[in-house]
Amino acid sequence: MNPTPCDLPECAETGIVFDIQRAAMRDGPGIRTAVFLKGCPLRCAWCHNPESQRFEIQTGKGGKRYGQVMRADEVMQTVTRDRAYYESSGGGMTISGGEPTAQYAFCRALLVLAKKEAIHACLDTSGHLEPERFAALAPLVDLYLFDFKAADSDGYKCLTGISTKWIQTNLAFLEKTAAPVRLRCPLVPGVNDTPEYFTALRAQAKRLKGLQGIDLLPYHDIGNTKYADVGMPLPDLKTKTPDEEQKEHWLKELDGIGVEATMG
Amino acid sequence: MISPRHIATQADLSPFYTREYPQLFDYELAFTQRYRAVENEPPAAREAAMVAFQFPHILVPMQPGDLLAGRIAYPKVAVGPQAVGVGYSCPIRELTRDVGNGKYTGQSAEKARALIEFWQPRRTQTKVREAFPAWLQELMPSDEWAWEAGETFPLYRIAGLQFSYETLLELGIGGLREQIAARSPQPDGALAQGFHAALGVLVSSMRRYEQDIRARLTGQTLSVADRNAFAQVADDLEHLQTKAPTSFRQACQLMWLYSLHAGVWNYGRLDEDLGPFLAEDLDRGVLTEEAATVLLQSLFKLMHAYDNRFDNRVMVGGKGRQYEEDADRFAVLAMEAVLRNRLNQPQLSLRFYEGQNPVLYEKALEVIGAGCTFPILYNDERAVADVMKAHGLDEQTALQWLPYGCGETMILNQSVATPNAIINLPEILNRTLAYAVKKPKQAKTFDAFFDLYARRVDALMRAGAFVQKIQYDVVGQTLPFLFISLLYDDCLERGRGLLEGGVRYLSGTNETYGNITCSDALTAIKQRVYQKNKYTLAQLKKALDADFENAQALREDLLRAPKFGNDNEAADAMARRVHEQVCLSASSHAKEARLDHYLVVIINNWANTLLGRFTGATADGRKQGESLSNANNPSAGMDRSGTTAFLNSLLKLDSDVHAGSVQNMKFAPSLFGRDLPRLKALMGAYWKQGGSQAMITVVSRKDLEAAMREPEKWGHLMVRVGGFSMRFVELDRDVQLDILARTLNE
Repeated sequence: MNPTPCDLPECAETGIVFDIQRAAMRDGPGIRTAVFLKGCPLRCAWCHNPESQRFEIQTGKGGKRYGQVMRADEVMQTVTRDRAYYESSGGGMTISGGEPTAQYAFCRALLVLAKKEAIHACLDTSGHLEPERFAALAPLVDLYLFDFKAADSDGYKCLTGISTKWIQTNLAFLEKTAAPVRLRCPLVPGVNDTPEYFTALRAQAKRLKGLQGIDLLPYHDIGNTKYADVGMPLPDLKTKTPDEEQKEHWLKELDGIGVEATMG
Repeated sequence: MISPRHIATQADLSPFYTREYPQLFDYELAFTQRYRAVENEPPAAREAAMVAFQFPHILVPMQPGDLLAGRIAYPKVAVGPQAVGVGYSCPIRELTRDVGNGKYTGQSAEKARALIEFWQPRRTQTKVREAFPAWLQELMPSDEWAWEAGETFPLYRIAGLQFSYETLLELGIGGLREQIAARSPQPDGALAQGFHAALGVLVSSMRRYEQDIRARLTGQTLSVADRNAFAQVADDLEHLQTKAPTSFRQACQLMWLYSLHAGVWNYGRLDEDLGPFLAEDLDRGVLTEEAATVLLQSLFKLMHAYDNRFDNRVMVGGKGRQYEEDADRFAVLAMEAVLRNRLNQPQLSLRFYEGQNPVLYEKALEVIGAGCTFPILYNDERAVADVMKAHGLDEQTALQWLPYGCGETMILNQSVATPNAIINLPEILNRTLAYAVKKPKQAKTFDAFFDLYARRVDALMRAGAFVQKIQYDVVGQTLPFLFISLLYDDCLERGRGLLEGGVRYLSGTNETYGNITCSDALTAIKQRVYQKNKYTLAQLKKALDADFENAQALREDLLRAPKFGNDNEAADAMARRVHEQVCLSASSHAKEARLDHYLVVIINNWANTLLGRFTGATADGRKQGESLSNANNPSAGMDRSGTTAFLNSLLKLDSDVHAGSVQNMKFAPSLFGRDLPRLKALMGAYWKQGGSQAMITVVSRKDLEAAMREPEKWGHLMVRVGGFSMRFVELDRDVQLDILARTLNE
């Protein structure tokens, strides 16, 4: 997409939004408005939002349009409507995706506007962004929701299709700056929930001085019907929706980790 | 004392008593004969004679497990404010139908015909209807609101009244008798004599219960637990015949039996009235909190057996309480009793304000979170000011506001605010559309179209105000409601019955239905017809008349138009416009109808579904026969922008221009579990921004669907329908679907 220039430095006036969810209860602290930006450079094997992957507006086979061009101030008009709820709950705005930083200039515009409005901002990111840009966003982000998708770079390559080079650098940045962060862990039974994964997660958690919590996000297949709608083949994932016992087991892996661990 | 065929048991889902006799209608004919003998007596004497005849025949003996005496089985013909019908009542329509369809044959049919013939001209409802002048007959031609299409209908009843039991409990029956003598302008007049006679009826009912219990105690049929409980009740009843109550249990007993005799269905501020008795017993160590809770459970089960649907309002908490600390102790135990009983009655409600003991609100969330649908929450920080403005009352008076059964606001001991008319806004809109198609010159702009609609609403609202006053007048001339007048402020001193100049504020209410269906339809008409010229009014009408047959694209376009409940400016502004118009129209007609207040209530029982059955397709995309929107709420399932957007929309409708509206909210169980802090913050922000009321159902979609598949397993599942709660499995299928379609906030 071609972002429209705007008055704010390094900001775009418009971007492509594929959803705005108000009263989101699972995307950061308190009651939040989650703004989902379209487009993602990753191709996670378990992706439950296939309509978020491509950067352009799509029309599903059922006629549904995925994505719309919105102005940053227009998005903020919606976000600010729930200020009272943010204040009472310690909530705010969460920018999510796709990978929201992939629409870097628009993502930045939203963060700048949130700062102006004194609205708490979370950035829900895979961390796959040029480190200079990642660092440039830092003053605008109140809390990172940072994905932890696989145990190591091979795992990332295999399960998401990308190199972890930037992710590693950006995590190191968060370690160094002790930025407030929650690790978000999509867990897919038999795919990435290996002993190595939990070992790596514990090690990563230890290194992040600003770590506030770990959110385990168990795999679900609710998004599967959307694959057909956007004309994509369903990934051949040898897994199943985890049961309660499995979830308990995962939580046990995090015993003694020293921060809050939640099950999404 | 009678033994009705149908005695409710714990397993019964709907213990609504109806009296069935071995000799069908013999009691009703005897009642009729008695009425014939006293027909020409003065109203107070006639009423006294008829309640004296009625109560010995309709009281039901104590049932196993009861800790208090007081059950009633309603006959077909009765005297009272609303239980069977208004004043002297007989269900002519039902009897005629059942004779016609062969339910009654032979002698029974003959007896039923005799009842119909006698009561048709004499029952109070007929007299009210006959008093309508021609112009009212024309605007309100039918009484059959649940079976016919129509714009507005009268309702026959005297509801919307609640009194304080404080005087009764402080003085007892003996003390009340002295008050009658001391304070009546004419201590020997007909009304004062009527009061004495009514108290005599109450005493003799107590004696009957006492005798019945003592007789049963000599037998061997009672369990040990029941023997002990019943013996206690007999002693209490003996005491209460002459003395004021001295214990919490006696106070509960007196309050309950008096309520049954008064025929009231709602109970004022019971925490204020019973709290001091409770506190004293607890402090003296003669009662434990556990025993008090169990007693309240029993009282609440009796309320449940008395009326299982729309009423039984028990209010706790709030501003303006004299014995706040004691009342708070009652409030917490009452909530615990509701939690344990898990019944859809009574409608326990909590008024709360900043600075109130926080334990009450916390307990309320616990009980709501357990899926009880109670207590219903009222924010006094807002509600008191709303009542002041809407009713034009000072703060001191407004502090004693209470919601009636479905949520109509009235003033404890000082006002009567019966809803005596209902109005179907989408039906009016559809008829406006038909008119505009015929007279297009009068609807050239949207504002002109809206004006046509508004003028019709106003004319019908004015009719409602006059119907209200006529009903009050006719009923006031017919009977004074002795038990009620005796405890209501002013009646005793003025020497007048409730509705013949006794009550301080003569208020009235009109129940509006389908407000949001109507406003969403108007939004669509404004945008699609007037702004975008996508189709004409005539094309729209044609599609609606055909219930969108061959007009699916048009329907989908209407469905895509903005809808209330999404914090959308266009849809919410229209909802405000509809809301203000109908609310202000009502209040503008109070004076000319000689009422102190006439206000709209947007409360909803399930009339949104019943009226919907006979309302054609509407321009919001709703199909013919589907439910209308519920109360102030978005059309079911149309609020799709998140809970905060839904709440923001609700907050845009002013709450100080009417006599109550209800906000139904359906929340997922997780919000009362791990997300409880978020729920508290959500509601906190809602209250802070001016939210006045919330009725919360906690349920998952999965459970509702399972309950529709296997009702036998889901008897416990409680949902808020509109202005009342029900067991989900007892609802008609279309009501179930309406509830299922409402947005679940997660």
